[in-house]
Amino acid sequence: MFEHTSGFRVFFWISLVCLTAFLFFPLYWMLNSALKPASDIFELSFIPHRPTWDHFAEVFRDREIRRYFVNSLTLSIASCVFTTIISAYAGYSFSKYRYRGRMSFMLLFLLAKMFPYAVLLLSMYALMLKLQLLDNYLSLVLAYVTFTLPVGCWTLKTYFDGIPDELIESAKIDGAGNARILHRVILPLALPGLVSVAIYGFVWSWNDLLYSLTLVTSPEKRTLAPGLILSYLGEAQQDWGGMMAASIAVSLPVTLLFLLLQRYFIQGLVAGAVKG
Amino acid sequence: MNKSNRGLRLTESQFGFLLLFPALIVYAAVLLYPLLNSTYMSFTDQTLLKADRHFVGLANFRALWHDPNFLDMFLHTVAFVVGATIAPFILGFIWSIVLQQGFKGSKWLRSLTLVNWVLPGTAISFLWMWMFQSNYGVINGLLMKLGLISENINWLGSTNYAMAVVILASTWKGVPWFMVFLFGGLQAVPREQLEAARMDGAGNVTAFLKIIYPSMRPIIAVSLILGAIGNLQQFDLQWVMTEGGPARATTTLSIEVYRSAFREWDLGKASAIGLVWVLIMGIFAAFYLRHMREQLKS
Amino acid sequence: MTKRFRFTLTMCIMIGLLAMLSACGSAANDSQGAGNVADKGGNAAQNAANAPEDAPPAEEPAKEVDLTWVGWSGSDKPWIPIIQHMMDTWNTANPKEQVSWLGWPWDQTLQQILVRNQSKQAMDIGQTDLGWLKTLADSGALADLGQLFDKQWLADNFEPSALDAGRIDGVLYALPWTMSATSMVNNPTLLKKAGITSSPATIAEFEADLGKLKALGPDIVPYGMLTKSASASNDIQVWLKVFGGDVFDDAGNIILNNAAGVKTLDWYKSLLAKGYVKMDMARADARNLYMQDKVGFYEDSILAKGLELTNGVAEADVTKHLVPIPRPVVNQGDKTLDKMWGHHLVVFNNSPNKQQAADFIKQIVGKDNSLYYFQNGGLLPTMKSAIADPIVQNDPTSSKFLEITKNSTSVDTDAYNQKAALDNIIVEEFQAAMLDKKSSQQALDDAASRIAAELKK
Repeated sequence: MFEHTSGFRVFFWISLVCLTAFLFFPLYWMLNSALKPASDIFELSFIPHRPTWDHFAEVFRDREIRRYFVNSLTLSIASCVFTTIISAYAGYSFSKYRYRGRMSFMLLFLLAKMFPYAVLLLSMYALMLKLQLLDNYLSLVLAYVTFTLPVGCWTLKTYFDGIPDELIESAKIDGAGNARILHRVILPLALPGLVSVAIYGFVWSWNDLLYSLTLVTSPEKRTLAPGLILSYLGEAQQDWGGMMAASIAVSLPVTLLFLLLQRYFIQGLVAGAVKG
Repeated sequence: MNKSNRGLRLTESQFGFLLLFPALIVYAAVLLYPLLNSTYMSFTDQTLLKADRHFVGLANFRALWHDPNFLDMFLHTVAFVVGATIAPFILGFIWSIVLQQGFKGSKWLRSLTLVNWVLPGTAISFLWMWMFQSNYGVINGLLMKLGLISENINWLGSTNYAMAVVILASTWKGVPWFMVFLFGGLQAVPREQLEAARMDGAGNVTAFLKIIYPSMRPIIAVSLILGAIGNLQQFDLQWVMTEGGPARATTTLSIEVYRSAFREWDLGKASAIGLVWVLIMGIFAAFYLRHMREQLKS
Repeated sequence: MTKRFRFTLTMCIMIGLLAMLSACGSAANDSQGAGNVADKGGNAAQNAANAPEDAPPAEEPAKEVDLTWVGWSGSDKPWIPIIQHMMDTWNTANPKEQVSWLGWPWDQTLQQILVRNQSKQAMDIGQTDLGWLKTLADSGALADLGQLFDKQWLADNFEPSALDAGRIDGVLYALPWTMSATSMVNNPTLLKKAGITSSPATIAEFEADLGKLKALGPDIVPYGMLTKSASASNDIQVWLKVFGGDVFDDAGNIILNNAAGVKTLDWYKSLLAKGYVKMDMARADARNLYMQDKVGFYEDSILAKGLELTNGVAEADVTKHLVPIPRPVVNQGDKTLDKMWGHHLVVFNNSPNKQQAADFIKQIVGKDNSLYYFQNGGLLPTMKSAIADPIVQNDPTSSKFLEITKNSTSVDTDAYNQKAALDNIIVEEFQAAMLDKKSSQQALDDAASRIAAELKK
């Protein structure tokens, strides 16, 4: 995309070095802290004097953490799938169709994203109690989907906007119906966008603390964010090394998942290019 | 949906509306009541301490207007939202351009960047609080070693630095978000146009300004707006790192809402602040979108 | 015309689907049974999950009453086995009144209780913090314990002051579970290095000691005074009292901004200017630095002892590293003051099984359980017979804490249900003055007017 002129090389190397430092030094520091025994945790050594895998070993032994992880993973995958599907339809609808109220719906979606979650939570708690959905992941999935939908359908709308209408017209001439066009022609083309939205939807529920803490009421359904606080940050005691080790341990598999997803989506891109 | 489509023989626009259906259902089911109820709450004296509430008209808004700290809070919010949106946007853009070069290991770097985003928020807050801790934080330690400072700086205990540190932490957390969207946008830049421009002898800067930036403008606009809205909502990071202090230096609207609702039990005030910010953001977003649309048309 | 008709039709379908969705939701939940707390299905599931470890499932009899105990300690890692043990003991002895735990992080517990209370969701027993009592009582969440416990039993087993801490307007809402003071603690190891041999009795001596500690090096924070987060307000208010000031006078007028208040804040500022204290110090930071021998004095409750133990300090060595001392006073001979600290046990008004909940509390605060709690978790008991036990009396650190607790008081903001808001105002204005954004007088005047505005609501 860019010609590798000397100017670009300078820009490239400076950016690469600076950003690598900025993005990965804190990660390194986190790992560094996780590898120090509790007594050395406040030492400013860049390489732990007495490195120990104790914190990690403890995380892997901890049945609670494992359960939190599985719970969060299930919940996040569910809400990510729902978010992606629903926002793909809504985004496509916003992008390629014209009907009354379209613009106001689009703004309404944004509006909902703007209202403070902390306030909405209180009414939502009452609502979920009435619907008897408390302590049921359905309530969390629904909440997460509504909060991630605006980002999802707005981004996907911009993706769909970039797909020329002629493509749809020519598919129509070939005799394809609306639904077929959407599923067979448009969605594969928007795969990068779909993956972005899926990752976004996943991370949102993965990181949520306030809602899962409040709407989940039984210990065996606790998710990761509140679970980690419960495990490592007590009234008096704070197990920093454990917290950092657990955070790394739960994040790596998810990142790996993303890596696989990315590979898939790049393949999708290539395939799309060949077809096009 | 496929079958009902054939059976009912919907018109084009009705099919479009049908696609919107699932989203609307979820919205109506989950958000309609909380949204209306919260809006109504801002006109009442509801607290978490009692079951009944009374309509008080605009009293909550008047109290906000007369709050001597409101202007300060508003300015902090603007500073935080602008800083924590623009900085990760620029860094995320540069980072996605760098990674887009496809050098060896770039895929790994891209995935590793996502770790920042996947890490539990509480851990991130503590990590940054820790790195900037004045006595045993690594930042002071580094600066000392390099001889840049002679005594420890109390980053989070100073009204001058606290906001900058919070923005920095938020930036670190936000880069992957922008990277994910902008990287996708970069992939979608039309190659043919780019090739054509190259043929005409366009350099990197010209190609960026004439082809790449214009074709990415919609995704840039959307990611900025959504990023800003997201930052407006963000409170957990600041709450853990500073609790809005010292001396209210990092108290943004979202911190104040959280504190009003969950520390001061004043739901009326919390909803009123929420409504004010929805109005401000709504006007801002509407203007920005209209502007975008007109630019696209021309 | 037809377009509009079809539009209406779609809207109708949408509303229908919506109704179906909510119906499905509740139906799914009913059939699932384990889903909601209203029928305590979740707790049943938890008991079932615990059963294989604790008791053979075959022996589990039909349950008649389920009690939910909410709080934080049962989810706080060091205490989990202790609380679980207490519940198991009860559950084995009372197979028809099973207790299960629902916990949150400490700083989220009050809000979670209030949210549940407002939605009229049943909770039975609660662990609460001493400072939350007024807020909880005003929310109507708490049951009157005077009607659930025998008056004679209460009078026989507790000191009047311990019971008073659980009373609001004469109504007993809470029983003390553990009580201590947030007292000044010092670090003999570090103090010896600085050449300090006796604990300071007056503020002048205290400042002299801080000076000696400061001379040890730039790394040392002589006094880990709390300067961050609203909980610093408790310590501020005790110092206010030491200097003869207060937030409110006896009639409830705001006197925070009187001369004594300004003197206190000026003293805070002078400590900061001399480098004896530092900004951005939360209790956790003070503890961390104290553990590293970088803080000479700070304020903490009996929790500090447990912290020492889990950080690898041997039980016998605790006194070499942690000594609670009475807070210094202005003039020799003045009465010393410290902030009362503790955990309460309460029964909720929404509980359908108040009497069983009260019986459970009776057992938890009882001698057996509270000595078990003390020996395994280090928290002080509250029942007279348990306090008098040699196990408690012979523990040097704990007995000192007990001694100091006798002179402990509540602080003024404890008497208001907006405690958190008032505490926050006080701390914010103190910070503003300490960071030279305002003069002391200006900061306290602002605090006074903000407090007045908050109370007018």
